[in-house]
Amino acid sequence: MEKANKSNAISITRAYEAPLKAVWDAWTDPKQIAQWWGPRGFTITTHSRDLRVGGTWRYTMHGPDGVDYPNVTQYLEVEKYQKLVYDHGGDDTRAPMFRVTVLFSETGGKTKMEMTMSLATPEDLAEARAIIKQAGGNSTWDRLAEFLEKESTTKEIFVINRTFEAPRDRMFEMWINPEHLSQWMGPAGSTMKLIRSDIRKGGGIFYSMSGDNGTMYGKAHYLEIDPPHKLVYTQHFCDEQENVSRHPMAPTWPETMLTRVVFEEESGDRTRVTVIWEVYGSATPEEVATFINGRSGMTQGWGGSFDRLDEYVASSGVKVA
Amino acid sequence: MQSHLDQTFSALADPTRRAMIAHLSRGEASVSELARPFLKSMSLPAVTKHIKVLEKAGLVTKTREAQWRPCRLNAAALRDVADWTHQYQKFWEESFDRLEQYLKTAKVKENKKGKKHGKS
Repeated sequence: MEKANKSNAISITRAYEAPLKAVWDAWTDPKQIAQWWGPRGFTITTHSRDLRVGGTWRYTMHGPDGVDYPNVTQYLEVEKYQKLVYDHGGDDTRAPMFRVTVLFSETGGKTKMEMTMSLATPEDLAEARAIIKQAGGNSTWDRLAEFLEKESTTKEIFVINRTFEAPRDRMFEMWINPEHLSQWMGPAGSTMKLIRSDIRKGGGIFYSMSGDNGTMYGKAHYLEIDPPHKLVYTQHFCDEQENVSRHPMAPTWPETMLTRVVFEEESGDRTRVTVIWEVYGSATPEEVATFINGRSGMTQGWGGSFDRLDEYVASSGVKVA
Repeated sequence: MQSHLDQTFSALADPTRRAMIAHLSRGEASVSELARPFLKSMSLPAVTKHIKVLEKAGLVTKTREAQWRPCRLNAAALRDVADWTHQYQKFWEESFDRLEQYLKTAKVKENKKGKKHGKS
């Protein structure tokens, strides 16, 4: 997803399951761009947009913590369905932060997006990387994938990916070898134990995950194992006896989720791993809403959190002092 | 941790206390400032009791710097709640972080094993 081809540039390559026109429109139609632009949890307001050479796009990004960030983009090259070059972050008083070149190309109904962000110096690059990481800036390109999926199939998905410094076979092994899997799956400070594991098509795992919030049990069932390309499994919470249950803190969380993991080779023996999550089987509108709310993270601000909190408190019987 | 979160959640489950949190999210405030909007509908001791619940849950601290000891929001405790609400982004980010680390340690082990094959 990201590599430094020059000491002052960041390159990002993504392939989208959508025709070129859909990706171009998502980038250029202000109504569409408002639905995915910016890190997860951010929303934007466009003040003006003039998509032509020399034209500018003025917009404000609203952070999940309520902070507003004014932005100006100036277009240097606009070649429909092919190429965009723009300077980002400058205004009347300061020079642009970086220059972005985006190349679009379509192969077999899939669209490749190749971005290069150039900064003035390697120091600026290091600073920009830190800012992007801090803001979760790379999630923008995941949100674009989610948006395109929704436009074409009306399906709600959650996408996240990362590029690892390891060859694809090895990355695949990390997911299907139980000894490896239990060493890293789960948030910081958690411990995954595989109680039963049979990782093959039609097989499954039963596991516990212990962490700050106690111990949870879960089961996964493998629908497809296509080494070293793809892995598909369903997943649900359960109790110690493997009976399907709900997460105590999220009772309206969908009962079954489908996880697709896609492994793609990148240059220099790197592998991009993309995880795609969606609600599986029959889910109530309330469950789908819970999934969407969770995906947008802090977008709902405290309002959204509090709604879920009320739900949790009501369902768990916690006494309100 | 579980009980700590429970306490945080139950403290936040009350609309009066949530309004107080919203007030404090705009900056610190004295007890009387915090109480003012509620005094039409409840007594001062009742308001103070709400503040105490927030304090006990670790959501609000009283600073010692100023004589009037203003109330301040404890960002860390609120972050725990926020973490829970967007935990699946967090779940994967942190899993990926751990996987990156694990790849490094597993690589070291394999390199050691692989030495006899001639690569040093």
